[in-house]
Amino acid sequence: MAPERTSGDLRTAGIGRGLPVPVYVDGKEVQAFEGETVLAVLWASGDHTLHTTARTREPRGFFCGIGVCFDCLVTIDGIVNLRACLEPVRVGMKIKRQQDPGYTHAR
Amino acid sequence: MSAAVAAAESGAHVIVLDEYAKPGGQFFKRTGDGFSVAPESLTREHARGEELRGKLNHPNITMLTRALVWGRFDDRVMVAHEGCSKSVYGKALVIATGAYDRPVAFPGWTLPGVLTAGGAQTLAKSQWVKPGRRMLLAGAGPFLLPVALSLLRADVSIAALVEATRPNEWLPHLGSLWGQWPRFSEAWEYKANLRRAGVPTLYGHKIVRALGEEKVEGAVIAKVDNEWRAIPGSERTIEVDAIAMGYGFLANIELAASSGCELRFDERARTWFVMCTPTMATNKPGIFVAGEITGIGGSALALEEGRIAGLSAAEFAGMLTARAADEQRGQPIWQRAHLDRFASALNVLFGPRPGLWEFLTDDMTVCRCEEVKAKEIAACIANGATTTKSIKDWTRAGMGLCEGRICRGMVGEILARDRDVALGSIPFPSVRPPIKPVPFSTLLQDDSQSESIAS
Repeated sequence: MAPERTSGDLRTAGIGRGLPVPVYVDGKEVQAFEGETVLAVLWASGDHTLHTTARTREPRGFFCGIGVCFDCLVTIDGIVNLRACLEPVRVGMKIKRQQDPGYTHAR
Repeated sequence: MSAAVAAAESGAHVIVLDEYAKPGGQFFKRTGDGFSVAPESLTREHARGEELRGKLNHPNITMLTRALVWGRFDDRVMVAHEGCSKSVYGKALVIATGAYDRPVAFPGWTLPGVLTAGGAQTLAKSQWVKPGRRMLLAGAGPFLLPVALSLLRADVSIAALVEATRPNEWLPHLGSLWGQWPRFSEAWEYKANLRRAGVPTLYGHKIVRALGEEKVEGAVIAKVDNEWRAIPGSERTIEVDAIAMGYGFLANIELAASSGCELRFDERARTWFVMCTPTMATNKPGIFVAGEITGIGGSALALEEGRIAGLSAAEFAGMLTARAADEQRGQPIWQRAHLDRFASALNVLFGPRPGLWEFLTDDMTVCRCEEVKAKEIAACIANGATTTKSIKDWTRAGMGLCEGRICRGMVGEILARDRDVALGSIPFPSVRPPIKPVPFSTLLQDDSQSESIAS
C-alpha cells in the first residue's frame, strides 16, 4: 500500500486541542496550541530538519524525544541550543531552526 | 512519585525535583494541558498516573517541576530552576532518574525521522502528533507493543513491526514467566490490536538501513541469525517516512554516579546500574535509589522500589523507627522480588546480542553530538586508548551536549571488540557536574535560599 503523500499537518485529527497559541517559526506566524511542545509544532509542519550540524552540515530532527540526546536543538527567543522536545509553546514565541553551533548565528 | 508519597505519609517533609513539566516520568507521561482526549483513547496507565499525581498534593510534599538537578555537593543538591541555580538540603535523598532508549547505530540513523521507540511514543501519546504517516517499528522486546498501540491510536499507519527474536526462543523462558499472568494478558491485548489494524509482525528481522536524503523515505530490513547479525541477501525495502527503534533501555545513573554511589555492571543488559540493597540503600549513607536506575524492570517494579526507598529515606531521616519501616517495607519487598523475576527473564531473552553492533565500523557516526565516526574511535584504540575517557579526550566522542549518554555504550562496545576485553571490565567514566548542560546565566543567578526536607 503506497503511503499518503498529501501535504498537511501531522497532528492527529479528532483530538481536542487547547487554546490557539500563535508563534513564529523562522519569521513566519504559525498556529500552535496550548500544551504543545515546540517539537510538536515543528514536526507537525512536515519540515523535519530542526538544525544542521557543525562539522558536516547534516540535517537533524529529533531522536530520543525526552530531553536526553540534545538532537532536537532550536533557537527560541534568541537563546540557542534549546531542546524543542521539552519547551512548551508560549504566545509570540520566536522559534528558529539553527545552524550549529547556534551561537554564531542567533539573532 | 511513589517514594515521595511513602515518605510524606511517614511524616517527612519532601521536596520533589522533577526535570519535566509534569511528574510521572516516561511511563505515566500525560497529555499536555489544554488537550481534550476521548476516554477510550487514554490508556489505563493514564488513570493510574493521575491517581499518583493526585497523591502528590499531600501537605508534606513540595513539588518543583522543570527543575534540573545538575549536581550534588556534600549533602546539598544543586537545582537549575526558573533561570536560577538553587541548593536544596535534605537529610535523605532518593534518586529515581529513570531510563532512556538504548541508542543503536545503523546506516542512516542520524536522518530526521529515525527515532527511538520512546520518542515516537512520547510525541504520539502526549502531543498527538504523528512521528510519521507510515512507520516501521524495529527492535526487540515487549516495549514495542505499547509503542505500536500509541502510534495506532494517533492514527499512524504501521508498515511492520520487526522483532529481532523468534517465538521459538521464548519457550525455554516460559518457566520464569510463570505467575505473571497480567503481563501475558496485556501482551495478548496489544497483539490483538496489531492484528485488528492489519500490522504485520516479522520475527527474526532487524533494521539495517534508513533511506533518504534529507529525511527518512524508506527502510531496509533483513533477516537475522540468533546473534542478530544480518543475513546477506535477505534485505527488503519498505516505504516509510519514520522509523522507531526499541532495543531496550539505558539507565540515567549520572547523578548517582557523580554523588559517589557504587555502580554494578549487568552482563546480560550490557550496561551499568546503581548498586542497591533490598531496602534500596546505596553505599552512600542517606542516598537511596528506585526505579530503572537499579535495573530495567518496568513501572510496576519501579513503584514498589519507590515505596521501599521512600520508607527507607524516612527511616534514615528519623521519621520512622526501624521496626515500623521494616513492617511497611515487607510487602513491597516481596512484590519487588516477584516482579524482578519477570524483569530478569525479559532481560535474558531480549537483551542485546553481538550482531546489534555490527555497523560500528568505518564511516558510521557513533557520537551524534560531535559527529565522531567509528573509524576515528578505532584509530584511537589502535594508537593505545584503553578507556572511554581517553577516547573522549582524543576524538571528542562524549564531549557534546548529551554528555556521552548516546555514544558511551557504543564506544564501550567498540573498545571491548577491538581490545578483546569484557565490556564490564571497562570502567564507567567518571561523571562530573553539571550532569546536564546548565547555562552560565543560570549559574550566575545563584539563589542562596536553601530549603530543607525532612524535619
